[in-house]
Amino acid sequence: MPKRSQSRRRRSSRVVASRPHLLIGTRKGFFFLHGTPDRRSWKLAGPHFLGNTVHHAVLDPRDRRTLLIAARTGHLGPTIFRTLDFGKTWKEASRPPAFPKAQAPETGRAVDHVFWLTPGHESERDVSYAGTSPQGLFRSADGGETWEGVSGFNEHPMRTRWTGGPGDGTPDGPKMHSIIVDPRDARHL
Amino acid sequence: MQGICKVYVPSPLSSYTGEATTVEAAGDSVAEVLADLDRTYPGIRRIINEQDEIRRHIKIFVNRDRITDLAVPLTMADEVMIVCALSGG
Repeated sequence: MPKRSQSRRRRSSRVVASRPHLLIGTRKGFFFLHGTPDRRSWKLAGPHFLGNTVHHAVLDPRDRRTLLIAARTGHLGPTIFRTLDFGKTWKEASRPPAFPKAQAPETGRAVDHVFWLTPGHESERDVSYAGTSPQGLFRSADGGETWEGVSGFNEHPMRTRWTGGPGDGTPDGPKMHSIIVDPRDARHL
Repeated sequence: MQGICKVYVPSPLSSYTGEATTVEAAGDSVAEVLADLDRTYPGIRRIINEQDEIRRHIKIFVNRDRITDLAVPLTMADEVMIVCALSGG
């Protein structure tokens, strides 16, 4: 891409990022409400992913440009989409959060939906965390393209005592949520 | 040599296949055909979860028979149909 065009795009992106935005996840899709700087008027954009349930959407405060959404349809299961241009283009994770495949006769867990997204530590610009139902913790180190289970939690022998079983939780299933990264220590969640 | 099967794709999945509703995929079992489909159309394997279970509102038919076991063998003459149940609220 020509440098002038790149520069124009970055400038445009900064202008958009400096305005207020509401991110609205619903059972039938995802919407933006773009506000003017004085927040007196708002413009609705969407729906994106019509028919998908969007459980969470997070604009990364580290660059105010990367936006991840946790989506699920009734048919196709959970996934994560990313946009770098406020919804003009979206890219689906090539490896969404998923538990390891169990070896028979064991029965493994399957992610029903991604319920929570948390950007990582300031020092780890491409890291994000996801919480799922049933309760699992996942980490992406490449901006949301691929996700790996955090075995220190997902495989911990105390996990079921900490989280309860599959029957504990909301009617929609038990969820991992409220993931907080310690701003003093990237390794401390 | 692996067989090539015709696969019917429902409209909720057509965004993965460039809007094609009929495609071809190689494999000697349903699992292999789905794996080949995912190589050609990344992401379409979302109809199967990580434990290789067909998702609740997805049905797969081989010719006229509904299958639940992905190990079902296929021949070149077989047709695989992926069907999305009508559901919602």
